[in-house]
Amino acid sequence: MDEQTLLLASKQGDAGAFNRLVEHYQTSIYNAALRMVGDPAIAEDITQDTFVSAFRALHTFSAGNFRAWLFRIATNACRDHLRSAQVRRNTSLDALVESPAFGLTSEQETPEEFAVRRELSSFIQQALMTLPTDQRMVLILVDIQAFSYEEAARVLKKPVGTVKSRLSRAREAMRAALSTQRELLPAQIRSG
Amino acid sequence: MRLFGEGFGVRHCSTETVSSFLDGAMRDSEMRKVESHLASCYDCAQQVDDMRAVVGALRTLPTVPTPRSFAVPVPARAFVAAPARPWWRPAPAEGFRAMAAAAAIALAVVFAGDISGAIGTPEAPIQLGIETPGDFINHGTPPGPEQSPIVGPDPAPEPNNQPADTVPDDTATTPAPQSTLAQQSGVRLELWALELALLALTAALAGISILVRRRSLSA
Ligand SMILES: [Zn+2]
Repeated sequence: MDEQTLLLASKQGDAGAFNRLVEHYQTSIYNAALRMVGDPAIAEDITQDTFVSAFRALHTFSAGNFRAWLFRIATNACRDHLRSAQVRRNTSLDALVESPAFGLTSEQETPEEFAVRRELSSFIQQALMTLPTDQRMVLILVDIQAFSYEEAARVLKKPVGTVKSRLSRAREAMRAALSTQRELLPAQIRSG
Repeated sequence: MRLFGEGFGVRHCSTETVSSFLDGAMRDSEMRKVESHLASCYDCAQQVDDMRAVVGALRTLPTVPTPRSFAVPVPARAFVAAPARPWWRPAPAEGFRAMAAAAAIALAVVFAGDISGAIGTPEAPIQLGIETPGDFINHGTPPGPEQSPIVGPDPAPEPNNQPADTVPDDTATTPAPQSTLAQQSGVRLELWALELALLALTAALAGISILVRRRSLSA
């Protein structure tokens, strides 16, 4: 069944049809939330809340880009969490040093390559967490989730121009952060 | 969008220009202008390379497998809380079920009275081997509406464990008021007809309650 058919059935309360959509989107929603909040347990909660809210509010989704609509719910949930956690976060920047290198497995890699990749992933996550929330969201949508500018603009309900400028500032901040760690960047990426 | 930022003499690429250039998100004419600048400006070319490395690193971040499924519970109506219903206005199915139960109790009472001979004529044909008249009159007395069979015996420790606490003592030796009235007025109670009617009423009410409940579930 295609997405439109599943959406139609879901709107009529068919949880089975909706769960086919959940199956399709849960990995990208979870990964975006994980990069956004930097905590697997909270990302798990946000992902579950996103799908439960989406199922409840499905009647308000008329037509168009379902993925953008879903990510809008998820990014709002992330924003709510980050706002409530702001005070704690500001006082515990040291904890970010222990930021985990999410999802790394050492397949077909030498231990050295794996160690470097692990360190890079951990460093990227730390650098992400230092970005302002709005910049981090755009960066995650465009550079990690491969959204187009237009789709990211739809998720964030901002003009494309705003997405472009936020993205460039986020990339520049990441460049500045990673410039101290150039030796971590893989050779093929470093040479461009 | 301003392609080039301010500089001393030379105008270099702005951050946004570099970022959009990497994505090819500008007009062809703008792309060519940036390309020609990069060919002659080491600093801007370096900036493009650095930012490309950052974007490349972000795109190659591993996808983390989900720790579990995020499927929503399948009976979707589990999310919809049933509207609170005041006790004095029960659900239609419950109302019919209560009426069916009341009819069944009435039927049981009348039938019990019938077979014990407490209601109707004293020369009732069925005696079921009960010999002591006081005994069967006492048990055959139709209990009041508050003494329904499902209530069970009174938990109060009564030394003389008779259900006489709501019935005056003299009823144990005299026939029930209804039967005396029936006998005195000379109206012969057609008990079998009453029992049949109550049986039909019970069955009908039970059937309706099941139908109503099924409809409310499928709605
Ligand atoms: Zn330049």
